[in-house]
Amino acid sequence: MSATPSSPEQDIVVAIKEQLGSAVENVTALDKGRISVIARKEVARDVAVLLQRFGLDHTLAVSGVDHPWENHLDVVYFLSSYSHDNLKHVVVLLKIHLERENPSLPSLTPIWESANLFERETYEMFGVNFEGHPNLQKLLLQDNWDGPPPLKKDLKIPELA
Amino acid sequence: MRIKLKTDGDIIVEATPDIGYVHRGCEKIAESRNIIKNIPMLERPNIADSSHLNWSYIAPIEKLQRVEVPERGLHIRTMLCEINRIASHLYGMAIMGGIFSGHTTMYMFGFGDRELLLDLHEMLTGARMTFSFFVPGGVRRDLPKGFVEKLAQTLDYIERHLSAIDRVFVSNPLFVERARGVGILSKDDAIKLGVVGPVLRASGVACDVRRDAPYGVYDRVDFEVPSFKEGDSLSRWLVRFEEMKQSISILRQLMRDIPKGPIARKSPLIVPRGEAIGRVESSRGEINHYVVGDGGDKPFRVKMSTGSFKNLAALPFLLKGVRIGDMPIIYGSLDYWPVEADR
Repeated sequence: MSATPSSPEQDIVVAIKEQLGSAVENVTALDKGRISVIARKEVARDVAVLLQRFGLDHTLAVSGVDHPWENHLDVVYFLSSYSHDNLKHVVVLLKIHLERENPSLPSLTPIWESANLFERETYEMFGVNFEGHPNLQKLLLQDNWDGPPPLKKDLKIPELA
Repeated sequence: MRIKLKTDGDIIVEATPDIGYVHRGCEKIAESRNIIKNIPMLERPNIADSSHLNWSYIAPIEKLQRVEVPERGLHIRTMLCEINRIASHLYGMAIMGGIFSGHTTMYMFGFGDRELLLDLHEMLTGARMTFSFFVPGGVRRDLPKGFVEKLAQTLDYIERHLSAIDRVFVSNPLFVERARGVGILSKDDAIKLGVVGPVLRASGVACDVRRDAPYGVYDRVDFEVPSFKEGDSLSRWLVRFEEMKQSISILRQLMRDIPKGPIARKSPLIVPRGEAIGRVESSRGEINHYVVGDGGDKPFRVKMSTGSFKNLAALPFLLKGVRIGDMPIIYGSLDYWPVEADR
């Protein structure tokens, strides 16, 4: 499903690589209009600043994905642009691998205000601690919920089995 | 939902929306069900606008399965979505515009006209709302006999009646004075907060997924993306009002030449390994479903990101510093759908 070398996605991949330099390991075009950037946790915020400067001005969503068998938990930021015409059709998936036990990540809300509510949701659903988030509280779950983070694969619901 | 307010006399100092009262854990349930059985559940969060949620969930699955929807299937999908968009905007104008500004006639107009569009839904899909009509590979049924004629009649009527809605509600000095200049969201703030749909376009950002990243047959029809510079409550309603006219125009173009051929292709009942994200412009803004597959018949992970959830970021921002009396107008102008946000 990878895009052909001369496609507009490849041009954007090259431009992102230039912008990011050695900060990321992996920038690839997944499909038409979809680009994946995988970054280490330590450089997540630097990468985010560079991507924002590149023109990706808002997040479409932030999601966690739990991989218990591969023993890691991913946080994925979906980025796009309103202000740059050549980026409007693009979604960049900024993916950060975290450890499954007590995952934590510097919050990217200071860079993208639109990530605010999504990070709160990922915090309660996956237990990811976003360091430096302005208001890291429960959002959708009831206040007295004290079970494990519900969207982690550890939580099995008998009725759904 | 509820909104906690801190006020200084009549002025709102701080507004904190507290959501989650209708959270149903859709994303968790989706991981334990077959991809087809997920369709009715994942479109329920917005019953007034279910075709868009349906499409946004199906699109990434089709991408992972590498299934191409035949042209006629795409055509029917686009038609249903545009009918649904008019119905949803009328619903929004009736409840959020009419009721929240105390305008009973708009409430009656909106619901009366929407009924005709629900009849079209029923004729095509068998259901008035929540159609579960799009399945991986295409649509469930072909256009019934006489559908196009009935659609043409209905559009003529709706178009005539939009001018009545314009006279009685949208251009009514009482409503205009109530909504103009109230709850202003500037262009920069709209981009920063990542709002979507009519809320975004009312702030001078003419972005619409249908034009920027076309899906269905939107790249083969002519339409404008209405946008306004003011960013106030009035322009948010004007965007919706103009969008209904555009939808009528899109539907008339689609009616003219409907391609022949199959309406669906066979698709495997599994989600192959991989990840994909769908982008669909719903009535309340861009919807994304992120689907991760592991080769089984159930999705490994489904993330829903809906228009109302993204637009919620604007609410505390807009309510800060305004009078309590302006709150219903501002809240109404966001056309917020709590279930869609809570999922």
